Amino acid sequence: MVQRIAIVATVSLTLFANPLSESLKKDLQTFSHIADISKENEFFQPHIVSIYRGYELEKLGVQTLQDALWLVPGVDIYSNNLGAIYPVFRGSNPITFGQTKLFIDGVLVNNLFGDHYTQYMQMPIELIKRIEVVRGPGSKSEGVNAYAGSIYITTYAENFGEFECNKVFVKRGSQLFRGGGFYTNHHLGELKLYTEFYYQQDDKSVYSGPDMLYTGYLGEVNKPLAKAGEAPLWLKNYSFAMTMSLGGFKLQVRDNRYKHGMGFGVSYLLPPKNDYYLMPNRYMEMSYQKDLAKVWHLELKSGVRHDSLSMDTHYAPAGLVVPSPFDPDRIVVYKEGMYGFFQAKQSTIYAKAYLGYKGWSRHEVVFGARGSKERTYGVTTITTDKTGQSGQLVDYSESFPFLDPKAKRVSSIFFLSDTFEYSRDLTFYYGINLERNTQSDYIFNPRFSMVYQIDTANIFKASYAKSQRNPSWQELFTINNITKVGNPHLRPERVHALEASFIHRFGADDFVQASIFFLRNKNLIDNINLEHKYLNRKDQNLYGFELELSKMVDAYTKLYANYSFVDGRNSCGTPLANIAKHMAKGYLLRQLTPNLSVSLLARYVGDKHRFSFDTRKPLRGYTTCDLGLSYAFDNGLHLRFSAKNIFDATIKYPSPPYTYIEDYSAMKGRAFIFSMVWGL
Amino acid sequence: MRQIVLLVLLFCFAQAYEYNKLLLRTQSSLYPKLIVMDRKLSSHINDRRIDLYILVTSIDWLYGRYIKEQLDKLFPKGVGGYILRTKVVNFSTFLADKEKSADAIYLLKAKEEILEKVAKKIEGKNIYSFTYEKEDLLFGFLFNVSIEKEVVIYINKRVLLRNDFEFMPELYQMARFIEP
Repeated sequence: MVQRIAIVATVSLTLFANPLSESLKKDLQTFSHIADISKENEFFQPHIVSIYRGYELEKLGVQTLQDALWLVPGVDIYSNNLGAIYPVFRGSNPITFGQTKLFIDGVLVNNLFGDHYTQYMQMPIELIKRIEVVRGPGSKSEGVNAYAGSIYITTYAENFGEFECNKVFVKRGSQLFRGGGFYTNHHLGELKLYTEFYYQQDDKSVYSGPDMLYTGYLGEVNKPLAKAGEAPLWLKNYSFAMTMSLGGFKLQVRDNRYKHGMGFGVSYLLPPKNDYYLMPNRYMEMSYQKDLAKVWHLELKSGVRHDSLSMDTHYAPAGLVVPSPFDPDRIVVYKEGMYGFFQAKQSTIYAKAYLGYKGWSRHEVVFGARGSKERTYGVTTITTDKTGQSGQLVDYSESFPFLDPKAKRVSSIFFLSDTFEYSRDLTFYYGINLERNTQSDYIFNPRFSMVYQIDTANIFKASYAKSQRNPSWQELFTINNITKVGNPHLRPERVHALEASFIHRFGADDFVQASIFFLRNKNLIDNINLEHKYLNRKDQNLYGFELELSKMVDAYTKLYANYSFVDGRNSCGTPLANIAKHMAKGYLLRQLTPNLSVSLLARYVGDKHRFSFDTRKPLRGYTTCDLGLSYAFDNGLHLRFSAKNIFDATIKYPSPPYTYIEDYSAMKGRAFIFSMVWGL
Repeated sequence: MRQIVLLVLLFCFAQAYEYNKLLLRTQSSLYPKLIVMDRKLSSHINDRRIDLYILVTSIDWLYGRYIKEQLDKLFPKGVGGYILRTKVVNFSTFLADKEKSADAIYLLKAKEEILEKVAKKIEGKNIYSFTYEKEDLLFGFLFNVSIEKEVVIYINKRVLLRNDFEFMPELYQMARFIEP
């Protein structure tokens, strides 16, 4: 019968071109393209990826990007001494930033100073349509070296008609949290305009201490000055974004101003409540894309990003006794302590050209180049007189700056890749990145992966990738600082990654994914030494596996859960420190009525062992549990309530050795958030 | 103790389904067009009006309404010269109805026994049936659109043969057959 149908179909097709079938064919192509862009066909992507959708996360009581990343298999959340939050993938060098990249609507937003994106970790989930988390360096971001992983946020600027065009939200919560924002989409003919804004603030603090002086690092004489108390983690953050597109042109602008309490102190000394750091991040990117002669695709991008770090802080207590920075033999007593205003302004200018070619049967070739110029254009260092002769403020911006004012890096990356569809079920992806920058000569980074669709329900993927992480500004150019000493001769960290993944699909949205990985890291950077100087100290091997399940238990019952295991050794043969070997996460929803839902979200993060020279006990693991309630009115209004950490678990981030003896607290007990969201 | 409480809570709270909105949007755009590709449509529908029922359990009522809004927005003037009238109907209401009131049905998630009953009810009655979930075709429904590497139309061959449908040949070239 099927054969007969096929013969009739073939004969008929040669005689007729039906407008209905043409329309159907066009729809299939359009939606296949949309599925490709929006990663609905995630299982067929040539890397290991987890995808989370904003509308589902909202129902779960997830509030921010940070909350969402905490759900990802193999990803743990850490904090540094400023209370700056960052994710660590698969235990990859947890004491430094820059291991991962964040893209918002395709724009790389990592700041230059620390090569991190702390200022976006509190981005409200209401403005996030989708989060794609690629683990490992196998991402297809031509022109950017993903290292331990990359995160792609898509906002509601991408709208194919499946979501509301506009949304407004307001929130109130514990520790005086308040926030609100909106996004709107307007169409005027071909012109599309997306605008987005949010503001949020809180008065968060956590009990902390005693601080680093207690360790005797700055001498026994200073030990009595050690303090314990509330570490300021308060936040004031607003962000404005706009995306305008017309035909192939697109303009994206974002201005994020992020002001935060000084956390645990710039020098690991507990700061007063009002001390802060300010980390604005602004960018503008223009792009143009066009299909040429059906087989070519051209894409041009250029952009500029400004980011800076300012710190306004009393960074040492009254009575501190230390050697003079100008004459180590002379002892200086800072009777009124030390105050400092530090500011470093950076800019990045970049351009990228990309050409895709589909003219060869079953091949899709892409090649192009990305060039960037990163530089520091302003350094301010004003502190209490370092000679100790007066308590006056002195401008050391010229004579004793905290960052090299001439810091600069020029980079160029050339890339070439091919997606080869060997058959309908087997696809190969292979490519290279060739990078050169001011600090290093050409480095060749190849990638190879395959996706094999065994049948409609089972998929197997495997990949090998080599990549690098260029040192951040902080690691390269920090100077005149006793707790962080930059090193302009640092080499990039390198990784060789082998990964494999098997996916079984139970249905449209249900799957189980099992992944294994082996990572060979080289030239790892840290400053854990007596001089606190950043050095390429060691190599390490990481290996492990991740299991991820999304399954309807019965017709209405969905379970999402994941478990990850990571282990390894460094080149000295010692086990890895500050890494949770075991992590498990999951969530569930219950729709009590069509309008009312209840959610439960849980995370387990295992114990973390210390460095061999760190005599503290291992950092204990924790289990947290969040509850969420959501009520949807028929007019599009949603009322939501979320209770975080309902069992009042103690959550701590590891503090570096010889700093705070007690680790950094993440939150003060339980937290509650009430939100009102209106989608139009 | 906390872990035990947590596990108990996990299993107590297990009740919900989050539909993929892009898949719903894709299916909503394609399903009405598939109906009018039947050359014998006019012999099954006399009033030039296609009554498409979106079958839901009560808990999925809002999703049903979402699909109805999408369909009404996408096909305000109907499809292929036919008026399209959409209605969100509870599975139990549909099963209790003795008359053939729907020309086409679009089924969201439901328990297996409910899907079996619906399949039995429409068997051989020339009712166009569409599912959200590809696997549900096997209960005895005609069409599914799925997002895989690309968007794929699936046709249940057994259901096709047991009804009096004659789809345009181009459709068979675009679709894949499922043979239970």
